[in-house]
Amino acid sequence: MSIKQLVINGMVGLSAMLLIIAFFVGNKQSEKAKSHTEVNQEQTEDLQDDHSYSDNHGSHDSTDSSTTTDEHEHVHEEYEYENPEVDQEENPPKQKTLADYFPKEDLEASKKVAESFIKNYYPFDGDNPVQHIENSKQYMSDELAKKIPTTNIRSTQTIHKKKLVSLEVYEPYNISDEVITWNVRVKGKVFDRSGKQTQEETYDYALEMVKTENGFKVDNFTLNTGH
Amino acid sequence: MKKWMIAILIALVIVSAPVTIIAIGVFATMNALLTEDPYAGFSLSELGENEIPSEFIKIYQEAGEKYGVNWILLAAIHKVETNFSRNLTVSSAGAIGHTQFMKCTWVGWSYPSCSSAPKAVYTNPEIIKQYGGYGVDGNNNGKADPYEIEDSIHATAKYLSANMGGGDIRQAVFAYNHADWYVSEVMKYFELYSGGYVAVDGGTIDIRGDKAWIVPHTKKVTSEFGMRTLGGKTKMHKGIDIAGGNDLGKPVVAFMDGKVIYSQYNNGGYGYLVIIQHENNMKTYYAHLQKQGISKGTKVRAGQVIGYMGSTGRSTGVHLHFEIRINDQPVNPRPYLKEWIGE
Repeated sequence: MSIKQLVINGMVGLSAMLLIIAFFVGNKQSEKAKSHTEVNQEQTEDLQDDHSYSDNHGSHDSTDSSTTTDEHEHVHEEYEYENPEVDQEENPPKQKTLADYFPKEDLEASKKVAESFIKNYYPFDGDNPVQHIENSKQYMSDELAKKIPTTNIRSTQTIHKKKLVSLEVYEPYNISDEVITWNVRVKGKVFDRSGKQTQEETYDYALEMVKTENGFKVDNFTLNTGH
Repeated sequence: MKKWMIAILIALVIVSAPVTIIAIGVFATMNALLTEDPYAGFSLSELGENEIPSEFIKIYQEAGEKYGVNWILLAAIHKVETNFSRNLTVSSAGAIGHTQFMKCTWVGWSYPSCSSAPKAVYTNPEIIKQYGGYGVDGNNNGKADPYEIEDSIHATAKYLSANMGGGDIRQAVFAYNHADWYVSEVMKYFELYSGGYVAVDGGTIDIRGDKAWIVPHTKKVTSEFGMRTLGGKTKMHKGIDIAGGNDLGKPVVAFMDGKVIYSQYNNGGYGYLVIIQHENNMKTYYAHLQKQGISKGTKVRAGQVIGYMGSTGRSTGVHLHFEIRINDQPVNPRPYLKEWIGE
């Protein structure tokens, strides 16, 4: 390759590099601007003291597309907007319940196990920080018992003991037709290292149950996560 | 090679080198600025300002910056561990100092009989380094002492940083103490103290007394109750809007115990709407839900999931429109939510 060709190629290469850099920088700025716009769009025009509203009778989707913008606005009586309950249907659609998917005896049996599990799992004693896990293992599936950690668990100065005050098992909103799920609402008292009660707390556990040859077991659970 | 060619080549190098260096510099800077920072937009909430002792903030910030950890997370851990150093006794497990380190974690688990190491040993930075401990001499006084606040906070930041694979905050906190209640408590304070924080997952349900915060993954209010102007028209906004970004399908929970008296698609602009009747003639409205909310007639508890965030009805973006009505008259919800978002 001649020197002249080398120089020309070098210049072409430099130009290409600058073009690529410009493309990436521009692209990044564009993404940033888009993201910013999306956040701003969440400021809505909804539900103001306006006499207009969208006519969606019978036309709304069963689920939200998240991009819905009403196109057919018209003046409407204010009272309906002021009192949204006036369009109340006598028999609004009902969510499916666990009873639609699972036999009654399975629901009753799994509910008892869920209750027993939390009764044993929630109380905590900083002087024996894995006792609650050992106590509740009989209600866990083998898989859960294997994966639940039993080391590096300790109390803190502010949370040393927890005592169960009450619990209530209830059916969650987002049920599955494949797995029985229960939520358990717990009220408890918390004590610090000096034994002083520092707070009363309310916890919400979400449990997934599994049917084994030894009856129902807790297969997975989360705490205060909105599941 | 001819002299003129060499001259052109040298000239080209001289001209192009600064341009290339500048271009690379600009590219690197822009890339750094525009790459999504997981902590971008975080700030101290009003509650955080009130609760976090000001003398610690600089220490958190320095440690956070050094180890790439959000400093408010350090404050949340400090709160849960020792209530901001108000109780520094040795825990029943043997954890010590301002953020309750186990001696072995501090000096290094490979140090022989680490749990009974004398203070002269476990505060020695050279020994800590040799045995891979997390103890840090944060105030540069030649000792790494868990009873010195700078050292303790820096060590906590170092430990979190080492366990925060992929930016997973919950995972890092869980590594600090393998208890689900511990993670829940720390995340609760982290979310309370952080303004603008948006949890990647559904967030932490926070129930205080008989009330719960209604959108667990964010506390960002995008529109207040009262008169507002949109499209040149000034109108009354009868509730508050809440959205943090990436909101679609995130849980919405009941503000208080009550009974669902309305759950359907509302033709007056609310989209999928849930109304809960509480005691004392109070009703709460949860509008624009993604789909049909929890069934009418259900008795719900504060903090129970009643639907998911969406943008149905008269709405142009995913958010929750939340109203409180007393005797069927809309009132400003903010005073009722002050524990979470301030007055």
